[in-house]
Amino acid sequence: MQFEIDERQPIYRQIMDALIRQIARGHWPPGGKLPSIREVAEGVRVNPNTVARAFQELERTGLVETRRGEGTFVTIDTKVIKDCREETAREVWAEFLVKIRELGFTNEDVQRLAAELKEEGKR
Amino acid sequence: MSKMFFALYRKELGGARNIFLTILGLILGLGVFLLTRISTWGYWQAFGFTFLPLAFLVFWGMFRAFAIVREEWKEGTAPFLRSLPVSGWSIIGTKLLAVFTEWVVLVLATLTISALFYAAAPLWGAEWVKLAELPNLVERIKFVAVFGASIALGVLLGSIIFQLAYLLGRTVNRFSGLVSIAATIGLIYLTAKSSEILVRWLSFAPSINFINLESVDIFSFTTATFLVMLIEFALLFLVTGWVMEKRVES
Amino acid sequence: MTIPAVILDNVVKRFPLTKALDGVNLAIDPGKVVGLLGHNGSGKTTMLKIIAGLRRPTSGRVEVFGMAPGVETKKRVAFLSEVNTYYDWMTVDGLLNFVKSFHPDLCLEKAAELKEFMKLKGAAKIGALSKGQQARLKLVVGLSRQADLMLLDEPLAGIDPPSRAKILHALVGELRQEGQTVIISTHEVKEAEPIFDHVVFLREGRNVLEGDAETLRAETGHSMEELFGEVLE
Repeated sequence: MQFEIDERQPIYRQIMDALIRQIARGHWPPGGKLPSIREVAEGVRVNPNTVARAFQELERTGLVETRRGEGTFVTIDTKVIKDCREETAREVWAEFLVKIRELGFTNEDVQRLAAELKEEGKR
Repeated sequence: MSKMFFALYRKELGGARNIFLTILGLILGLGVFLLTRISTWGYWQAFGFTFLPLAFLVFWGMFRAFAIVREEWKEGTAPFLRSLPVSGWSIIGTKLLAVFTEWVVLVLATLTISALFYAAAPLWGAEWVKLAELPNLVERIKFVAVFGASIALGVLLGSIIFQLAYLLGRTVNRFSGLVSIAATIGLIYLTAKSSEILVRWLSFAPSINFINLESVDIFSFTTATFLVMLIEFALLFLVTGWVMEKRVES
Repeated sequence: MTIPAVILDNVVKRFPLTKALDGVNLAIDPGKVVGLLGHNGSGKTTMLKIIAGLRRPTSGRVEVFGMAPGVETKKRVAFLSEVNTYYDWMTVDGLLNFVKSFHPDLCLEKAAELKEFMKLKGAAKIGALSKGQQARLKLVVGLSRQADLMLLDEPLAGIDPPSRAKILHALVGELRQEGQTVIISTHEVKEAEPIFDHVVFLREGRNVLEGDAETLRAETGHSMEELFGEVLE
């Protein structure tokens, strides 16, 4: 796992968010094993304690579970994954709306834009 | 523990290798030089000079003991040495032992050259007596042994004084040099004064007598001096190890 | 309750002309990676040396794993000085063997890997190494051990900028997941900040700001590098 971290924000949250996104899009399938704390730490170049914290927080969401001595696994409960995916999508959507409204776009403008972009995509 | 002690001892010997080999080379060089001088100076004169390094080695031994401690600060290795999990006594002890080892080897090297010179005397037609035929041989050997042991102890005592004086300078962060010099003078004075008193106290200690040595009929050596040096060395060693572990900064 | 790895209680260190530490209070939990951040002359080296037992505080109390610094604590501590403090006449392998005699926790296989990674030859004389190589050697010695407390004084000094990331990477890779406490002093915060759990900002011998790095990020919205600029200018 590799990505650019933003040092202005808590790093464990960024790792957690990145893992959630990966699980949501099925990069780590239900019941699949996540990389070890050490692997993530080396990939992102942060200290293992920070990664451990991200894993702990992630476990609290029910999205993953840690089996002692085996590692951390994505839950087999697909509903939890689906819910999490929806929730993340809503968050992304909300962020998008905030930004687009800053440009003076109304809901109608957004719909119009979406339709236009869809047409362009078809071509 | 003994493993650490041995590792330190080997490190001290390793660090002193170059200077040791240089001095050994000089001693051997002097031997060779004296060999070429026999024809001009005469055999006995040249033979006498083979003992010259001994006088130098007495001072050299003490100087090395001082230098082997100072180098840790001069070369900037003191923080590493003092970060090792060993006591100050181990550090000082191994340094003394290493210097003493070198010193003994160099003294023996000098004496070996003298012995070779002596054994080779007939080659130059010098008047020669076999060792075994020397008068009062046992007394002579006894004398050399006692004399040698006192010199060795004296060198050790001088060594620990210089080491302690240097380390006392290292307990302050300013005027280290001045403190060291003052400590040297102070410690020598203190040792001399306490020796006087201690020798008086130990006057009951037996003497060793040597009969029929060269020009004197009886030469007497009191073991009190020896004991005093031993006690003083032990005390100074205890203090120096403690200062090394607890007081100096690096 | 766990015993803190390091406790400094109102520690003052006076030098003839300056006060290197001016009443530092600090407790570091075991297992933390601590960034000791400050400009040159802020007292970082003095603080690490006091913890390592190489210097004595003028006043105040110092505890390392619940003990006063001494032979017992030195068994569990690895102090890696900013400048080269190893014997010039030793070879790299000679040094590793020497250190192993005192610290059985040093793993020679690990050392061999690290030498390879740091591009150091075992037979090379330490005195013949460049400044950068000497800085790497220090890390080889420190990371080959499993010391409970590792004190790294400016580990990136003398290492060329392109290699820094690589070396930090190695450092992170070698950190034990649990138990090992690391204190890293640096004034180059940018590269090192992602690896700190806890940061201590030191200015003129006082810890002016201290805390969990993530909490500080969440509370201030600043990186440690930005805080460094704000707090210490």
